[in-house]
Amino acid sequence: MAGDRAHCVSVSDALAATAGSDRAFGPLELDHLATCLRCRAEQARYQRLMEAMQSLREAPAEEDYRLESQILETLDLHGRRLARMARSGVVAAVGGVAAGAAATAGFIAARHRRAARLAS
Amino acid sequence: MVSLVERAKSGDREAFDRLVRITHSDSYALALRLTGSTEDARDVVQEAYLRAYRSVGRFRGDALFSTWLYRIVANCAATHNGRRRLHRHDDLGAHDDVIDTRPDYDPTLLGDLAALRVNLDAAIRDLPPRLRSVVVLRDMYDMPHEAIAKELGISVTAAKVRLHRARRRLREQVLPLPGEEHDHGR
Repeated sequence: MAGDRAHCVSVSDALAATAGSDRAFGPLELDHLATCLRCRAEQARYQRLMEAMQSLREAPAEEDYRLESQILETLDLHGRRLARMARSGVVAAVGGVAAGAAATAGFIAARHRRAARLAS
Repeated sequence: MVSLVERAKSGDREAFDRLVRITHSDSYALALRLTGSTEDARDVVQEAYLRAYRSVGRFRGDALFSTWLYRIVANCAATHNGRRRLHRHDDLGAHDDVIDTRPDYDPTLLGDLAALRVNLDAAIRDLPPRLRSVVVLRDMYDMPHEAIAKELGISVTAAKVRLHRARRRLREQVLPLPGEEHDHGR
């Protein structure tokens, strides 16, 4: 009797893991399942549970009519933010290039002046 | 769908908008199952589409676009549920008993699939988020254990343990064996 109870626990665990399928069961578990009404009832319940889970997926979900426009607004907002960042990046880059060019021109002019002073 | 995905990958916003129109109901249904709340599901779906839009160029096409999107929704829902848990102290732990408060619970109706679905839907919502996510992704959306583990940021073993607990809890609550009815506070 105690052995049967231990088999029930082991089969019950296995049924939860396999969602009611006995394909991966060993001979001991299959033998027990063939003779234990409680375990067979539990197996049938897991199988019905899985059918119900699958049918729930196919059941129409509650509609949220505002959702589509909210998603598109979120994407628009993201696009605008990216565009703003790109614009400020271009401005910064143009500013950087201009400042660099001015510094280079100043450096070259200073070298020319120094060279002219040395020559005279 | 395939041509829309290809266009979206090359940066066509109009194509991505059409993908949103085609897929948002299913994404919302999954988010609703994972979060158990319409408000949270709405936030999760918006975040998911934003992530999808940013990364659609990297979508390799070795899975269906909808499957790829489901994984993003699952990941966003996991992040959202994690944030929720940090801010909510009365959340149910994985070992707490779920109390069935449904007034119309009637075991004689269990043979009826429609009634079973109603009870199961309520039982799934009652599950703690960490168990709910795994059982929904595995048993409703057929996602492999490895993908579930990756999107939820847990090990494959942890995903299997949670699935085992979730199935057992659902089975005991919705389709109890004789003698199990009193285990849920009734």
